[in-house]
Amino acid sequence: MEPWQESYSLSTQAVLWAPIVLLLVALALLATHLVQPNSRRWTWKALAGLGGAMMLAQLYLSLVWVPPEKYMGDTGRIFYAHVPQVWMMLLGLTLNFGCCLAYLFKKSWVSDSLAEASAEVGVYFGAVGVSLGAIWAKPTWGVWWTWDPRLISVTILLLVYAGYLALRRFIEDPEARATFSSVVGIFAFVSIPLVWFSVKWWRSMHQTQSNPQTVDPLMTAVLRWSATAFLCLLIVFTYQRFLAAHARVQREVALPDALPTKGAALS
Amino acid sequence: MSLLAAEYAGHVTGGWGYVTAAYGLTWLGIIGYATSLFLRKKERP
Repeated sequence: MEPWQESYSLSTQAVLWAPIVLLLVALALLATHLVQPNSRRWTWKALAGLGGAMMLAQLYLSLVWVPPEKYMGDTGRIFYAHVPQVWMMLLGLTLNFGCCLAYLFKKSWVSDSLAEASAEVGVYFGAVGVSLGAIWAKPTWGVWWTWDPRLISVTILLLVYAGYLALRRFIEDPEARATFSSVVGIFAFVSIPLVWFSVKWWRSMHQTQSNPQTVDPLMTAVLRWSATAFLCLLIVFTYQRFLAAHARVQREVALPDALPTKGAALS
Repeated sequence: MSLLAAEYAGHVTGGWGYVTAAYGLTWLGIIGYATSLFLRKKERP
């Protein structure tokens, strides 16, 4: 145990370590969901319940339990909702990249449907996360928005993925849609490292990434808690959106278990 | 500069309105997106 950890109360220790235990529970539920098809009726409900309960607790922890930030005061509490949602955006869009690659190699409708779901959920979390950043920027920077490298790069990212989703709407043929959007999804992924490293590569007003060594353990505890809660929501949202996308493609190809084939006519 | 102003120089004071707006938007987003997913559930076979 680190020296600073010994000086904190039992409740702080609980908030610091409970999200790690709950994260393992969430990952175990996800693994069960993926490995045991019969469990899919209840695993997503368990994840939704866990995420909902953690979100309610997150409200208390971030608005009441954790003290105000030293320089930003109570405005710093926005941090506990802004940062995890932007992380979920990056996670969702990274999953989209993996699914796009998988589709091109395996030609699986599951990969294609999961790519659509993860992109939409990623854009949703990104849009809310960036909006929260603007709300935080007004009292701290003095402006709602400025053309800073981090803000420009994340705007480009959201526009590119909005284009990806629009492309999927425009193409009616399921096989052409899956192929073209997979190529676009792979190119769109370039914007992710651009966003991540923008604060290091260019002079940015946005702060660089923090880590547990550079912030107070109380902040780390609440941030961990929030990240686990939003991760549960990310999984549930992506799964539910996947079901809708997969149902649509199954209707379109008429044969539920059919695999797309090169050059096959889909009338 | 008054004593209070000197004490808070360089610090952001207040801001609960911004915090309320941020958390309100977060919850509105969660409820709204979850509802849209629930409505799309009806489209499934």
